[in-house]
Amino acid sequence: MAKAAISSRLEVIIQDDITGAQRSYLGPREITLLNLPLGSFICVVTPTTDYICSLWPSKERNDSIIYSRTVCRQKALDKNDSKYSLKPLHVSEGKCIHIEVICNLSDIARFRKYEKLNKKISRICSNCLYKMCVAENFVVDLSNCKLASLCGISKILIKRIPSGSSVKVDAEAFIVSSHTEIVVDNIQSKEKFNQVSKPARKLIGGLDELVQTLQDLIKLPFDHQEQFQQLGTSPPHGILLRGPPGCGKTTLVKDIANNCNAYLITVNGPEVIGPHPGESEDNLRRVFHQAIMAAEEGPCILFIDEVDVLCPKQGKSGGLEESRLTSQLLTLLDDLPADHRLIVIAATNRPSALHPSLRRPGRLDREIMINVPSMAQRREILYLHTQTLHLAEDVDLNCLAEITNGYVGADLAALCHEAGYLALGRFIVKQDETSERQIIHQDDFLTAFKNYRPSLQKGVEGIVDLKPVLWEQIGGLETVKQKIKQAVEWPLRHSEAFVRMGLPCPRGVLLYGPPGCSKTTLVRAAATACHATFLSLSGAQLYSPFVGDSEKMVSEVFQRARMAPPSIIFLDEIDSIVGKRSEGGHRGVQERVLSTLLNEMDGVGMKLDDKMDSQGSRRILEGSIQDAEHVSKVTTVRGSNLDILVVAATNRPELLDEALTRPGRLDRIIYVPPPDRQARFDILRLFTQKMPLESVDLNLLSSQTEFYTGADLENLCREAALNALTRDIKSTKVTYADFVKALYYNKASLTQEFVEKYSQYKSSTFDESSKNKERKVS
Amino acid sequence: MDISTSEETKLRGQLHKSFKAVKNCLSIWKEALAACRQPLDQVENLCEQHQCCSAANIEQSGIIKPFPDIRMRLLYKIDVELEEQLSRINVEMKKLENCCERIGKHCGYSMKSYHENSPYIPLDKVLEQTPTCPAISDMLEWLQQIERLVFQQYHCKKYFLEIFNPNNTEGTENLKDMWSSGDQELINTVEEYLSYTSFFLEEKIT
Repeated sequence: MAKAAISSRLEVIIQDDITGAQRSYLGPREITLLNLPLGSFICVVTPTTDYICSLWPSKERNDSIIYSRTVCRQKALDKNDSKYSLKPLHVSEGKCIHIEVICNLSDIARFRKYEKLNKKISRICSNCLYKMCVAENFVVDLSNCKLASLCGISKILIKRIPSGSSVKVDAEAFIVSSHTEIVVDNIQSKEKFNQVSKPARKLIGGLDELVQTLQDLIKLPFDHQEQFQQLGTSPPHGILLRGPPGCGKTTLVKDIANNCNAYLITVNGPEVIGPHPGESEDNLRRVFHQAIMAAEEGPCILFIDEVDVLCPKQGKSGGLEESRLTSQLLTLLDDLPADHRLIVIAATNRPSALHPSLRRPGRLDREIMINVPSMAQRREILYLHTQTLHLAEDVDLNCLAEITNGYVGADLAALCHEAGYLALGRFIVKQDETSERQIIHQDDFLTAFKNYRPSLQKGVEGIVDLKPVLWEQIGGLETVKQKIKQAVEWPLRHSEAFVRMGLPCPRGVLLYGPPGCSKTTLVRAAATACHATFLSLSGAQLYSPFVGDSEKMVSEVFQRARMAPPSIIFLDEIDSIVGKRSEGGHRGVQERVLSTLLNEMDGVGMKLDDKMDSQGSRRILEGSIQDAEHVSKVTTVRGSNLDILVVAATNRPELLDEALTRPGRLDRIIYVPPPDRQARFDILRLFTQKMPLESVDLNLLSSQTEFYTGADLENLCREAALNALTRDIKSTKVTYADFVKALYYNKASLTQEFVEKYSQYKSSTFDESSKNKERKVS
Repeated sequence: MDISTSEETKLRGQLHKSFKAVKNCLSIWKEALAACRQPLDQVENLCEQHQCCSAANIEQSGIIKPFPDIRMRLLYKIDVELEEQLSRINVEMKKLENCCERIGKHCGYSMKSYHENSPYIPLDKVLEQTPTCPAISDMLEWLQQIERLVFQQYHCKKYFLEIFNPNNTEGTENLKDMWSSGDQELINTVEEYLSYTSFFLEEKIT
């Protein structure tokens, strides 16, 4: 029921017409103002729809309200006028009216038979429209007309009224009488009509190429049926869309249906399943039957969402019901008519859970992967979602697209809404002070970004809340920083450059060095700098009392990492997680985890169903064997393992398995040395930045703190400050004496021998590798 | 009743005539419906016989061997009987059609009369109602409503007869219910409107 003021004097209430009469009820004063006799036809113009109805006095004799009961309406699509008004109509008796009959899908076959008997159907329509006032492009809703519902007619669209078909020349609307000739131009189903009459709007961003491909798949068989027959080829029957949830599978299909003007029938897997035996199969048959009938009218898409529910893999737990449903779906897919007007699109986010026979040619023969959007795609999606929002000039969609790694389309939409809410909240607070226009700023997006967690990161082991660290916050270690930037940041941020130079991206980086030398902090800084998805695995998360659980988790973490590239998998204290393979026969859980890790990092290949073949990447023949070399040859930026970087940290490098440290796995081995004098000076300066120091020579202090690690230095500064407070709680300065006292109690945690051990390891590994090189050369 | 102008009198006179005609038509309508009841029962019965006769598996039983064309003969007999009953219904349908046309015409006359005289009758007169006499606007609206309802009802019945097929089990099983659905509502509505106008109809308009 719509309610609004007409010309600031009237209110309009649109009621569904129960009697099927075309009437509006107006107060007597308004009728006098209109100066029209009762029963005259007027047009009630509202911002969205125009209604044709006859004029009658309202029973309440209320002047300000118009009750409009009407069946004849026109949707105004491109109307900018938001006013309500009443327009008198010049009405005449119509001579000839061309119509389009809109009937229920179930009745369409019957009506097609009538099409030959056009006279009969036009007579029925003439009776349904009897004494109604109609105009071109108006739709007469006959849902309350008994005769129409008996015949299965739902609506009548007034297509065309030829000029000169009335007595009056300037007539705008026409009354249907027994002498009016009704010509039925077309018959279409209600469902198709409703779908077409929806305004078309671009729904999805970043998948233009895919949309085009799918459109061709759907349109070509329909438009060029003869050519297909000549060639003797048959177009695909079905398409399987797969990809993580929220990446736009459902929206994509809707968008395509919109673009192709195809009739879309959606089946939600869980909706089909009924509680009684045989009910689910029956539901499924009904949907397919409906789709086949709709396909007779034009291109039709049958979209089965969450198809894995309908057709699960026959596992140990598969019941009889499930297998019956599966076989029913397979039979229905096989029995689809060969005229290719119907295409089945199924979507799933668990392709590995699907029954394999569903994916054989002849059923769902094309498989399309929709991946987590890349940066360019994210920018396009953000652009699409922000089109309706009032954005400030400072909003930088490029920057937003860059930082929202791992966000799917749904997340980006949620982000825009969240930003909108924040702007709204601010606007409501400020409303009294200023009257500035309500707009969304970049800060709103950034705040929303901070609060929002992308859906792919929900419920996953290994995702950690990363406290951002900037490179500047780490004192000293310039060479190490540079190396880490090279090893971690460059492959992720400038992977194009690596491709250009023909450089293979490093797969893994091992940081080793004495404890407390900021290995973990360095990785955090790297992750902060490249906006990568950061997954962390620790022994506590990994080890479970169940056999196979730990390996599965490693596998899962890698799969998640592949879903949202670029990503960093961080294995802190890797020696305790995997260790070394023992030479004895005993095979512990650590070894199994190690073997999973080695396989995931550089195995023969990953499960095809888990493979993330993003749009824009070079297509690899589905089913072809993918060995590690082949993967490394792929010169594209996205895809496979290339965007995953495993970063491991340890202080016992000698305990690691050799297989793990060989090139191709953890191929960059970086020694993070204890800080030298300059580094110590930088660290001390960093930690004493906020302390009120008095006559403290940090240079001198840094020379006195040999073998102190970063952590030790932090502790030292803290102790010194505490010493100052112990001396006098009101003290405002930290003096050199306080540092000396702290130095006395806090000894260095490293020793000469300890550091030498690392140096020995370093030289031994380098020696080995240099020996290897020499061997190769010789 | 204070009748101020001759135009209003003319209009009221026409409305008076029209409602009289509606009243008259209603009684004819009711009679026609009552007359249809018996042939409809017969039609329903005959349809059942027709379907049973078509479906009966008589070839295998030995009893009818001497009468090889008995199914054809029986079906012919049933068809003839059906024709007869349907023609009886069609006679009544003609009466309904006449009612329909008559009400339509009267509605047209009343609207025409109103449109002709409306410039001379002020709106408050058109809307004026007394305990004994409804407002002109209401009466015009009721007439249109009655016309619409009667038209729809008649054409629904006609449609039933058009799609009638003795072999169609779905269509014939509840033929009577479908046929008479909406009849009572129509009669109630028209009677309601007539009761509002009962005092008005008793008046003599000169």
